[in-house]
Formats: sequence, C-alpha cells, structure tokens
Amino acid sequence: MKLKKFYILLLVCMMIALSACSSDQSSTNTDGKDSNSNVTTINFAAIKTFGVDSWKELINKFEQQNPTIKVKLTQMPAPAKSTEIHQYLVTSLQSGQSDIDVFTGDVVWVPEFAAAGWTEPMDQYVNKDEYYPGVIDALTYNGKLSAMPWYVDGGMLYYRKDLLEKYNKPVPKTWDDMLATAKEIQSKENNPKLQQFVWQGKQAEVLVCDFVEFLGSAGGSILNTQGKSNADSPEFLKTLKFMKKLTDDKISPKSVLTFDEEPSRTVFTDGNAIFHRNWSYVWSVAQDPKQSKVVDKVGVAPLPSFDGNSSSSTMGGYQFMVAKNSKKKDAAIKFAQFLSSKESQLYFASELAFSPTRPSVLEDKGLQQKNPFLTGLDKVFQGTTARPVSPDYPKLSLVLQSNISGVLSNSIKADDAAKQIDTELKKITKQ
Amino acid sequence: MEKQVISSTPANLLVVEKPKTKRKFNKPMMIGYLFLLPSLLILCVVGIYPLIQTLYLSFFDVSLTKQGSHFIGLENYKNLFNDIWFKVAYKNTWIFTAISVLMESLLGLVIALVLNKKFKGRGWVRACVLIPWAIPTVVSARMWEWIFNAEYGILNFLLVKTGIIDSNVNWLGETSTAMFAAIFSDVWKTTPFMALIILAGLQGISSSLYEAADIDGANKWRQFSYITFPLLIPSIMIAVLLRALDAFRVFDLIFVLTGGGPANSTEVLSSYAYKTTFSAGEVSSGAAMSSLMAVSVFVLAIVLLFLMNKASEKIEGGK
Repeated sequence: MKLKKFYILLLVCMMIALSACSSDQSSTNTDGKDSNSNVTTINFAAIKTFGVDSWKELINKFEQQNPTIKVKLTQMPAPAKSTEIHQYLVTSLQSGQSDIDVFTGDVVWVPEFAAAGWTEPMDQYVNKDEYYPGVIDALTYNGKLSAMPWYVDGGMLYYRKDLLEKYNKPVPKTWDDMLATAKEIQSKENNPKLQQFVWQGKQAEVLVCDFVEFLGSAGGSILNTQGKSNADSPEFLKTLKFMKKLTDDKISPKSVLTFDEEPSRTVFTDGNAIFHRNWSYVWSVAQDPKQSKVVDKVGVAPLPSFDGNSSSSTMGGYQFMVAKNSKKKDAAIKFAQFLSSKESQLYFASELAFSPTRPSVLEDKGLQQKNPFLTGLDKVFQGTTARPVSPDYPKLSLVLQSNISGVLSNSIKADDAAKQIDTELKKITKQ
Repeated sequence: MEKQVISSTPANLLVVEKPKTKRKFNKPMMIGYLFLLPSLLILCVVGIYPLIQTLYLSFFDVSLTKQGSHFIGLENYKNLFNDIWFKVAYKNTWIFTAISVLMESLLGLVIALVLNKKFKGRGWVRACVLIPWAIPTVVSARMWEWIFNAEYGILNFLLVKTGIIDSNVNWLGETSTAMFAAIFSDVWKTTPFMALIILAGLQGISSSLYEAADIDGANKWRQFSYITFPLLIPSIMIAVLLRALDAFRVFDLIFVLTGGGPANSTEVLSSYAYKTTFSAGEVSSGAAMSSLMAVSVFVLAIVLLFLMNKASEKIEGGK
C-alpha cells in the first residue's frame, strides 16, 4: 500500500514539473528584446496569398537586411474569408495584449481599427507622394494615415475571349450589351453547363463589393457626399432589382447565392461561364494549367455599366498596420516599411499579380514585359470606388449583406429591402 | 411506502424517497463540503462570473470602436425586440432545436432497439455507429458543405443519376432548403449520441419482465408499448434534455456550413450574437443577446426537467 502511494505522489510531482517547464519560452524584457540574445522577434499576422509562398521569401530577405530582427509568421486565411479574419483581428486587438506587432487588414477596416485605437499612425514613416492619392485617402482617418499601403485591387470583368471571337462579339461596355452577348453565345454553344455570368452572391462581405459595383455603374452610392444614407435613391432600387433579375432570369445560376470568390472562380476556370466578376488574382490562376481549363482563353476588361454611366470597380486590397500596443514598435515599423517598399511591391506585382499602390512600380520595364496584364489595368485601379470610409463600416456591411441576400433569395421584396436599409443606415449614421 | 426499483436509470432516483435522518452538522459532512469547495470555486470563476459580467455588460453601450461607455439600462433589450434579424435568429433557433431533437430522438430510439438485439458483428456496428459523433463538427460541416454543393456535390449527383430529381437543387443557397440541410447534418452527427443513451436505458430493463410478458402471451408490439417504452422514458428524457440544451446553443455547424445565410435563413442566436459582437463590434448588444439566450436555455431546462419528473411519477404511480 505504501509503495502505491509513493508512485502516485511521484506521478503528481512529475506532472507538475513538466507543466512548469513547458511554460512560455519566448519571455521578453520590457525593452522589447528577447532575454537570451540581442534579437527582436516580431509577430506578423498575414493573410494567405494564392500561388507563390511569398511570405517566406520576403521574410528571409528582410531578416538578411536586418540581422537583429526575426519575423514570426502567423498565417491567417485567404481574403475570401474576410469575415473570419476580421473577427480574429478584433478579438486579438481588443484584448489589449501585444501578441501581434504587424498585421494585414482589409482596406475597409482601417478607419474602424484606427477609431478603436489599435493602429499606430504611419504619417511620419511614409512619403505620401509616392502612392496613389485615392489609396492614401481611404487609409486616412481623423487626419492620420493609419496603415502602410500594400496592394490595391478592384473588381473586374473576366471573359472568354475565345467565345467572343468565335461569335464575333466585341467586349461589352454596358450591362445590356453583355447580357445580349451572353444569351446569344449560351444558346449557340453546346455546353449545358455553360453559365452566362457568375459573380459572388453569398451573404458575406464580397456581396457588398459586387453590389457597390452594380450600384456605382448606375450612378448611385451607399452614402452620399455628406456621409448620409443614399439608399432611398432610384439608383439603389434599380440595382437591387437588376441583381435579382440576374438569378431570376437564369443569367446567373441560383447557386451564385452560395458563391464567394473561389467557388465562382472555379466555375469560370472550369470553362463553364462566359462572363465572370472577380478580383485581380483570377488572372494568374486562369493561366495556370494545373488549376484552369481555359488557359490563354481569358480576357480582362473594366466592368460594364448602365447606359450613360461609367464603370465602377470596388477598391479592395489589404494593407499593413502596426499595432499600437506592440512592444517592439521600432522593429515592427521597419518591417512594415520594408513590405511597403518599391522593391517589395515590385515583387508582389511580378510574382502574384498584386497591383501596387505605388504608380512608379507599374513603370518598371521588366514588369511591363512579364505582366502586361497588370500594367494595362492601371486605368481600372485609378478609378476604383471605395466602400464607405467610416469606423461604422462593418455595421453598415452587415445590414447590406442581410438585406441584399434577402432580395436575391426572394425573402424580401426589393422595395422593402431598400426601405429597411435606408432606415438602418440612418440609425447608424445618426441622421 | 416501499418503492420497487425496476430499472437502474438515473431518472428513477429522482423520485425515490429519501429516508428522513436527523441532519446533524457532523465532521464527515464538513469534510465532504470541503472536498467540493475547489470544484465549486472553479465553477464560479469559469461559469458564474462570466455570466454575471455579461449581464452587467448588457446594461451599458460598450462598443469596440467607441471609447468609454454609459449606463443605458434596458435599452439594449428594447432594441433587440425591435430588431427583425434578432427575431429571425430566435425563431430559427427554436425551429432548429425542435426539429433536430425530435428527429434525433426517433432515429436514436430505432437504432438503439436494433443495437440491443444480439446479432453477429454487433460490437463492430456499435463502434461504427459512433463515427459521426466522433468527427469534430467543424470537419463534418465542411464535408456537408461539399456534399450539398449545388454544382459539384455528391448528393445532387446521386439524386439526378437515380432520377429522383431532374435538376440540381441549390441546397445551401435557397432559403427553403438551407435550414433543412443544416438540420440534416446535425441529425447525422448527433443521432449516435441519442442512440447510445437510449441503449444504456434499454440494457437496464430486466429481461425477466419480457419473459413474464411472453408467458402472459403478449405480442412484440404490446411488449414494446407496455414495457420497453414506459421504462425508457427516463433515458429518452435525459437524452432529450442534454440534446435540446446543446441544439439551442448551436454555433460551429451553422458558422461553417452556411455562415447564417442565405438571407439569414439559418442564422441562429449564437451566430447572430457572435457577428454582432465581433463583426459589428457591438459588445453590449451581443451581451444582451447572450443573456437572453442563457435565460431561454435555463427556462427550457426547467420545463424539460419538470416534464421528466411528471413522466417518471406517472410511471411509478402506474405500478
């Protein structure tokens, strides 16, 4: 009996000892340096990029240039899961902990995070003239530049250039033209799976992006120039009805309501769609024979518009932010500057076709040769439409998502949805 | 009055009369309470404190993007009653709970009856039946997301191939079928759990009762309705209680499978509270929702326990 008690006591002691040993090994002193050497380790929470494992290369390059700084990467999901990324960042940042030093965030979150006091102002670390003014505007809240620009993205029209050539159709400039072309091609092609137009209709952030493009191309906007609700405008209702018509008239499959970026892209690169709205990343995927059945058959153009209006492209793109609570700000800012430098942006542009926020990058001859597609998109990105730049944007987005999804799935009438959105927006913007 | 213990299910113990002994505050009792103290403390810290703090938070206007907060009393709750999306989420939660628990109980009962019979390979079957329950919900939700996919899902493929339907159904994209898809996935996952609990109850029924019934000439159906089912009611009710409380708080299945869509048709209380707190940053509003949820769950538990007691008394009285 005594021996049994002894063994139990021994086991308990071992367990206590083990748990004490495996505690936090990365203890840091208050001056931000690790306790065992002169190396500072910063935590970088970054979104997943498609294609090349860009982070490893860039981190290596940075660490070579800065031997006293080490970067630890926390991988977040791809931008299509923006709702989850947002929730992850919000949970980490509001806890007040200093686990994240540098992170990537959607352009629409910058005002929100700045208002919450989670971002370090970047005004003094950046030469604003080197960037597109529209981008700087979108990242400035309360007069302070709250993020380091990374890439800009916009929605664009992908089309099957082989099918357009086959039926001698021009690239459409208006929605009516596009629908007419698509209908004709679909009826004459012998592919029962071929859809006319696929986009993203899932009840998620991307639905608002698609909506902003349809709305902008009708001459409308979510908020007017005074920041008040514009949902009672005729363009707003016209847009809702147009989107509903796309699924009602089978121009787009009903499953578009479950699509975010990747599922819709798959339909297009499988050869089952004539027209496709998506971000710039689709270009490189469509040229990759491992993922695409339409290599060399794809063309890109600005999205069509309603007669008499100009094309609208939602400004997207993730940016770099330095956490205000970071205990290693010097190292973090250095890293953010590196990531936003001309060299890094050139790297992103040539390897991942991420459109730079520095116009000078597009003038690079090497890039123009390697990726003429990107340089041709300069026009699209110069004229991007920002979603409402407001700390309340996530709330606005949720309201829009619920109601637009309701219209598309026939649970609310377009008129009622527009009225509901208007009421909610007025409440949020305190009209 | 002596009560004959005819089955060993825990519910029966609820109605057994306790012998009335003198309640002296003696040393063994004190030591007993002392042993309980650590667990009670942990329960308070982990369970009671967050509950009270959430309730407290719901009376302010805390928002992640605003600095400072003010006491606003019951205004959050008032706003919730005017929020159509909250009402939709509330309705969806009850529908999800009621239908999935009902289906899981019925199917669980059938499966438990089958598993109670002796047949070759019964041990293997019992193990296999548990696999859906063992797979983490997040993983199985992803799996179902693909199965229900309108263009590439295997469900549509099989249904069209066998001619049951003539074109793909947009399971997760139509408001009419999305909730059904969610319930279906939940039933697939949790029926084994119900079956297991009911099976335990079945095995507690003494075989001498069936022998007596055979001698009396009762057929299988009468045996089921007069012996099996009444004696199973305590187990079924426990399974239903546990399951209903879990189903009411469902989150991971909905979050991964549909994200609450399309058009909020699968939005439930927990997912709506989560979005409100972390996407919209309305912490106090989310706290109010969570508090209402806690109250609802509590009421549900009380009602079910009351029904359980009533049912058990009826069985005892009938002997």
